[in-house]
Amino acid sequence: MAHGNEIKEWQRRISLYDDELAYKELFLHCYPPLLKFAVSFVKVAEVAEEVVSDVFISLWERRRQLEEVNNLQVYLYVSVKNTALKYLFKQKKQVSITIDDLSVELASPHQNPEQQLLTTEMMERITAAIEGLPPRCKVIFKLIREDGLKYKEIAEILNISVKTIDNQLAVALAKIARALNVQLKKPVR
Amino acid sequence: MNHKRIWELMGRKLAGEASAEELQELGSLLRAHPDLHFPVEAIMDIWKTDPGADDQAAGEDAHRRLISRMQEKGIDIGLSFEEQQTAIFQLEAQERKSWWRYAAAAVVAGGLIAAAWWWRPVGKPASPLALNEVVTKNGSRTAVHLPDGSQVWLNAGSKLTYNKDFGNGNRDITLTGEAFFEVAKNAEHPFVIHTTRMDVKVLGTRFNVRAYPGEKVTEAALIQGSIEASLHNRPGERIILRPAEKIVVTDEKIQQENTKGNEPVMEVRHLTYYEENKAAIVETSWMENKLVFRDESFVSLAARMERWYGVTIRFSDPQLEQLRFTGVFAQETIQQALKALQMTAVFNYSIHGTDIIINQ
Repeated sequence: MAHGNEIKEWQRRISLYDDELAYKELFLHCYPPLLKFAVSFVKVAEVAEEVVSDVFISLWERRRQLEEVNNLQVYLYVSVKNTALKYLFKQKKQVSITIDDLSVELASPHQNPEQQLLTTEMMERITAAIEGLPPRCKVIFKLIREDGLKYKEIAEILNISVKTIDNQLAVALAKIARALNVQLKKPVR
Repeated sequence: MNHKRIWELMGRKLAGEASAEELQELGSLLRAHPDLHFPVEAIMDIWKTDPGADDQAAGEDAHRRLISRMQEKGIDIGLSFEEQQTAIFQLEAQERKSWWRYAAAAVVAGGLIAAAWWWRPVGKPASPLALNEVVTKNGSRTAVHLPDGSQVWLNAGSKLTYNKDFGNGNRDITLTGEAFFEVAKNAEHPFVIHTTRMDVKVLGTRFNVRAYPGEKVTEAALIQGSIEASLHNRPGERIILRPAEKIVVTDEKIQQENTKGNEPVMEVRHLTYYEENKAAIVETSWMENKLVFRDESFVSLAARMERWYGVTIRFSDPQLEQLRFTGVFAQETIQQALKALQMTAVFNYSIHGTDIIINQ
């Protein structure tokens, strides 16, 4: 999702020219990661879609002010988070929610087919290691790896410090490495 | 063991956040820890996600649901001409059904109500204030479905006005700006479009009328069927057009100001095509979301770009107004369009919000 210039251009076209095509492109571009992000809060796919759709509706309705938004990607993530929290609050399912309550589904790791560095068994170990990460760690890992967000952006979205991101990603990588190191004791190839 | 620092730096490297110094530091740390070479390599290998994971169709479906939710909320969005047409037809079909139900109920109730409805005096003039008006802003367009079954696509910066009783004996409509008409056949009641300089009378056909205030010419371009034009300043004359012809009327007042003064007041020309293909007609290209111009002066192109993009364009030097351009804009933004024009002529521009100034 790291196409900063493209997003800026869509943002401008929507704001200045009511450009519905740019609006659609922005939606198609941002929908998959935002939907997953919303699912990690509200758990139900249909509700998550409604959350993302609410965010895009208000974006269209406030399109005149859109040019003032500094980083539209961060704005969208934060809006999805706030809308999801509002929904949870209304449902009274949860009065407060922290990132440790998030349930994050990660894309399964897959390796460069040309290299085939890892055996199937090792891949399974890595998957298990990633799945076993605590939620906070998982969501950060996901936003960096799958959504291509910068540390500063994630810090703003999740309301945490850059230092926390440094730590959490290091934890995730160390865990994966440990899963691999167990195998190292045997000859690899 | 300083593994924690290694993974922190690895994370920064993978995320594209590492500085040159940090990369150097990571390099020397890794040299000191050969046991980590394999896991580091493996992690770099699996870091990239599968690009085929995202489902494009799911996004398209979600977008469709988004747009229909917005329409339910009354937000004006998301109707490409084709979609809007079907949407209106559906609406129309529903209305007709409920009307039939109402009529049937009335008949059952003794025929009185229905009779009263049918016996209503025909041709009674509607109150002069009962006007329907459809207006498009610069930068936006719309489709209008008229009560008689005709379809009108209204280009940017245009206005369509008709009586509330349109289709009920009369089919008179007034246009300022540009519109494409697909007129439903009705031999008894001709469809008449009034513009400032010319009236166009039709029986059932497809054509484009362009009558923007401030533009030197008014024109009607015929795609299918036949139309009859009459000029306000020559009431006796009737000009009949055949398909692929257009009538171009030049404003006399503006013409007199023009030093050349030898342009005809009215002439019939053939339609122009912007590609080999005869379907690519310049006059109706706006319907395909294209802004087509052929050997057009910058001042007249700028007026069309103002409507197309919803901006205002001013020239700081009148000489620049006379530059001439040929080309097609489709998906281009205003900036891309201006940049493209800069490739064939020397000028500069500055953009302040929606104000654009063209200068030397």
